[in-house]
Amino acid sequence: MDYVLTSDRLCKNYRSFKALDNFSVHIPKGSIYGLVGRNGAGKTTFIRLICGLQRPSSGNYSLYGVNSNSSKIEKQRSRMGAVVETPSLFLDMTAKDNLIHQYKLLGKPDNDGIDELLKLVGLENTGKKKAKNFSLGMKQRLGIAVALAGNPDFIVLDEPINGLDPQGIVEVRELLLKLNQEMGITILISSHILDELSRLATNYGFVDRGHIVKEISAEELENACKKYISVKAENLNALLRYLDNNNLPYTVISDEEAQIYGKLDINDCVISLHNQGFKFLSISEHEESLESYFINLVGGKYDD
Amino acid sequence: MMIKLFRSEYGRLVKSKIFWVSVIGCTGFGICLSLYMWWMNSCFSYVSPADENVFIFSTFGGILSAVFTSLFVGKLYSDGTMRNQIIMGHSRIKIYLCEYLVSLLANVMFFVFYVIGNISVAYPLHKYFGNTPKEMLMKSLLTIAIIAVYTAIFVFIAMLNRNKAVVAIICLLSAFGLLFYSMIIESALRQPKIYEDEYYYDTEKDAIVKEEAFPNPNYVDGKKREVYEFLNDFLPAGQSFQVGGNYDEPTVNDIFFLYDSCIVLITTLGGVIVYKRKDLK
Repeated sequence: MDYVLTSDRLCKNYRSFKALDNFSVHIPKGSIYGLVGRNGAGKTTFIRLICGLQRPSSGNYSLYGVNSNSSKIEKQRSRMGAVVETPSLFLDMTAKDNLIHQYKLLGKPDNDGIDELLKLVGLENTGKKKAKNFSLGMKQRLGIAVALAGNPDFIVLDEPINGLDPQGIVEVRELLLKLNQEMGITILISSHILDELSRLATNYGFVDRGHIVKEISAEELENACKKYISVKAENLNALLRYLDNNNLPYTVISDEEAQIYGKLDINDCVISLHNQGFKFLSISEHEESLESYFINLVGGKYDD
Repeated sequence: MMIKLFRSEYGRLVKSKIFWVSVIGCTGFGICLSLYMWWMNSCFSYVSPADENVFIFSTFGGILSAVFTSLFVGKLYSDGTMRNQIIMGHSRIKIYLCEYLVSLLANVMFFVFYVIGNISVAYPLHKYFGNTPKEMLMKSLLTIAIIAVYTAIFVFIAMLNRNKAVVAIICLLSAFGLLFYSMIIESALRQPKIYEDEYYYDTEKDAIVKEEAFPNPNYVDGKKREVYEFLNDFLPAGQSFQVGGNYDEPTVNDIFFLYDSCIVLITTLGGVIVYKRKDLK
C-alpha cells in the first residue's frame, strides 16, 4: 500500500511532559484519515511536527518517502497544505488578497485559478469584505482555500469543524468529500467530534496519551461496530441449528453466548426454540457506535 | 525561494496601513520641522542651512522603527500566517532574513520620505546646504546603517516572541532606553574639564568680581572616559547624536560602520539560531 505519511516512534516532550510517546501512524494515499482522540491526546502536537512548526524530541516521520531528517523534507512539504488549529489568514485582507499573497509565496507568476478556488470553497461573493468580518465557517473555508492554493495532494486539517454551526459543518464536510473523491486529495483530519468524523473518514487512527492505540479502516470499524443480538443459554446447539437453517450470520463467543447479526425474527425464534425445550438465559440488542468503540478502546475517564 | 518570500512580504508591506501612516507622518514631520526652523530663523534674523535637520531622523528613527517593526513582524504571529510560510516549505533562515530585509526597506523609506519632505521645503527657504556632497553622502549612509542596527535589534525581539503586545513594549522600552542612556553618556562626555574664569557683578560689594578657573568635578576622565567614548561610538543612539548633532568638529567616523555591521551580524545570527530551534504554535 502506498502511504503519503508514516511516522516511526515519534516522541515530543515539553520539559517533563510527554506529549507524543512512540507515535507511529500510516496514512494511505487517497484516504480521508481521521485522527481520533480526546483533548490533550497529542493530535495537534503530531500535526505541528509534520508541518515543520516544531521538532520531534526523538523518532522521525516520512512524507512521500522522504525522511524528516533529510534536507529534502522542506521540498516535500510544498506538496502539502494545512490548517493548524485556527486558519492562518491576514485579517485585514479580503479573501482574494489572502490568496494573492499565498500565490506570491508559492511563486506563481499570475493570479489564475484564484476565482475558481474561491468558488470551490463557496467564497466567490465575499467581494471587499475583510477576513476579520467573516464568520468562523467562512474563515475555515478560506483557510482551506489557502491550503489548496499550492495544488497539494495532501492536506492536514486540525479540528476544522470546532466552533462551527450545523450549516458550517455540512459545508466543510461536503467540501472535504469533494476534494477527496473528485480531486483525489489525501486528507488528514483530526477531531474529537466522532459522529462527524464517521461521516467522512475512510481510515482511523485512535490516539490516547500521545500514542496511536489502533489504526483501522472504516470498513473494519463498521464490522466491529455492527448491530447484533446477544443470546445466552445453557446449551446453544438448538439455537445454532435454527440460525443455520435461516441463513443468519453469527459468532459463538462462548459455550453459553452467541452474537447474532442480521435481521432476526425474535418471535419466530423464541417460539420455535421453546418447542424444542430451549431455554434462553438472556437476549439483548447491542450496537457499538464509534464513540463507544473509542471509549472501550481507550478506557473511561483520564487518570491524570 | 527567498525571492518568493520577499515578493509576498513586500506585497504585504505595500498593503499595510501602518506603513503608509508612517510614510505620511515622516513626510509631514519633515515639512513641519523645516517650516518651524524657518520661522525660528526669522525671529532671530538668522539663516540656517537647508540640511540642518536632515539627520535628526537618526535620533527619533529608532523609536519609529521600534513601533513599526514590532507591529509589522508581530502580525505574522498574531494572524498565524508565519505557519503558512513554514508549512509550504520555506526555511526558517530565509523567513527571518526576509522579515529583516523588508522591515529594513520600510525603515529606510521612512528616512527617504522624511528627507524629501524636509529638503523640499527647507531648500527654497534657506537656499544653501551646510554639508558638502561628500559629507551628505557619509551622513546618509551612516543614518541608514543606524536604521539597519535598530531594525536588526527589533526584528530579533519580534521574531522570538509571539505576543505582539509584549514585543511592542519591549521594543519601545529598548529604543527609549538606548536613547536616554546615550543622552546621559553624551552629556557626560561634553562636560568641560575646567570651568573657565568667570566675571560677575557682586551687588553687595558693588564691584565686578572674578571667579578663578577650577576643575569640573563632574568631568569624566581616565578609563571611565574611554569606556564612555567607546559606548558613545558603539551604540546606535550615540552615533545618531553625533551624526544629527550639527557639531562644528567632524564627528562621523568610519569605525561606526564596523560597529554597526558587528551589531547587525550578531543580532541576526543569534536571532536565526534561536528562531530555527523555536517551537511554534
